[in-house]
Amino acid sequence: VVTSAGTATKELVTGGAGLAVDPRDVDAIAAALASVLDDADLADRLRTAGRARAEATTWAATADATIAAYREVAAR
Amino acid sequence: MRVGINLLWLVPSRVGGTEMATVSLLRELAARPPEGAELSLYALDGFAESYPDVVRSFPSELLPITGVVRPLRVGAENSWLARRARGRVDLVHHMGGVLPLVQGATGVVTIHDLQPFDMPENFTSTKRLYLQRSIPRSVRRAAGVIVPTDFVRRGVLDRFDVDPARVHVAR
Repeated sequence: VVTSAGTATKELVTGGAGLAVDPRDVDAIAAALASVLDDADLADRLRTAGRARAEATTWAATADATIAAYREVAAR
Repeated sequence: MRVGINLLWLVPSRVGGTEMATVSLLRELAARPPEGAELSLYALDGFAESYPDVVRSFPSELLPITGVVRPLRVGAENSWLARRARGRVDLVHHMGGVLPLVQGATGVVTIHDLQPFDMPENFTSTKRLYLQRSIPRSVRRAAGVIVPTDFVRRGVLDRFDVDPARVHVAR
């Protein structure tokens, strides 16, 4: 995964799950994409870490946290 | 606890990634109904046509406008929705990032991102001005603010004068 630095998506790739680049810098985007295409080891590491991150980020957890927020607001 | 969910802002195919995020969350809530929480929807007819499974999963009230004309839709949030919610729900969760000026019940708002501030060039001048005014107001007036990431939470706390205890990450 290559995504934007300076936005929320960067949070999803911290810890080696992807590469974050300045979304306004075309050369940086191209370089990041090229590095994934040219470096098989890097691509493997990103693929493994990315899948692990995706599996840990679920809608079930989001739903639980949303309901918890409702309960906290209602209890005030 | 009775929670109404405001989806009047969700005009299918016109609101970007927040549409997928919102529908995915609603499908999850439908699949595993939370104990002690009764959820109901306020949505446009067009939403029901695009997502009949979601509308069938919750008690739903539908508004017969397209939502394409923004002033009409915003007017409905401040009148129709407020009347419908008053006395019927304990909270209204406004999932589209803006809390109406007129509220029928305690309001919770989801702020998906701060793009109107971070990347203003992505918006028309009218929409940018509207969001740059309505988002801070919504955050300050909401009883609770829900954000998808720590990044957005930090942005909300840095930009707006809001009690950190009221800003919840749902991820």
